[in-house]
Amino acid sequence: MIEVDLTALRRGDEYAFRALVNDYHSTLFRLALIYSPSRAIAEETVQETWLAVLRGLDGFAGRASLRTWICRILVNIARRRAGLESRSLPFSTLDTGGEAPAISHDLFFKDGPYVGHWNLERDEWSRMPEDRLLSQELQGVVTDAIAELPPGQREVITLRDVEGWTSSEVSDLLEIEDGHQRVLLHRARSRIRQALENYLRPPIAA
Amino acid sequence: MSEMDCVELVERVTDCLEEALAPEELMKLLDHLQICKGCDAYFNEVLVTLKVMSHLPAKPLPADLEQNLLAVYRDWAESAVA
Repeated sequence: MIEVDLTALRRGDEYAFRALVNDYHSTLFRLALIYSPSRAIAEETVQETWLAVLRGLDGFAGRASLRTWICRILVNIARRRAGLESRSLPFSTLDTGGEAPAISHDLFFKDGPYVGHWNLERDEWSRMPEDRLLSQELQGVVTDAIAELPPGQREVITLRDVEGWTSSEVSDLLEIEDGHQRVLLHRARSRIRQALENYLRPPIAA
Repeated sequence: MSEMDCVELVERVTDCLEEALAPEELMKLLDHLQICKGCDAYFNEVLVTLKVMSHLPAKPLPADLEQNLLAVYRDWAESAVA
């Protein structure tokens, strides 16, 4: 993220504003998409967010980081537009996401001397050249899998793993406990890992 | 103290990467990884998954939206100065 010149922004410096909206767009748009049925609505949410940011700019005291403040405005607007009360109905706490294990327990011995251990050798699909790993093809698989996550998991994994935020920034923005964040992150990562595995090593139909 | 089995390890991977494991749990996990090819592969799969996610391309600001936002900003700046 860029160093934001708040003084320039407050006195109407278009260069500063353009730098800011370009720098923040990816994060804001990805967050908006979580609550929006379409890209067009996500863009409207982003636009409404910037209006609210400008209205509140003079009152921004700098206690929170600028990006936490802006992203919180966006999340509140996006949730409201989706028909959710931002404060009383936090997605992340509603979202239990079930108690599904990280990976199917059919893959482990259920009894005998090796109980609790893998019952067959794991195919090492993760060994692949860098260009394959970072190909558009796999990026598409992962993007689609993230889009299918329940909203609470999607918020956390988007901020932590896609946008690279720290856990304390995420807890701060979403107003959730660190432990709860880890539960959501674990479920989300487990599902994305599984999606990659299903794509790279499709399960053999019985 | 009991050893960590594979079923448990796959559920502790996130806590491990988040540095949220107690020292003795971390030792058990690392000991297990050293001797278990399956869990070592699983752990690598999670790392590869993280790497793909951290390299997703940024979403550029569409030109028409940027123009809309600039218009909004100009209005705001004018009324702020007025």
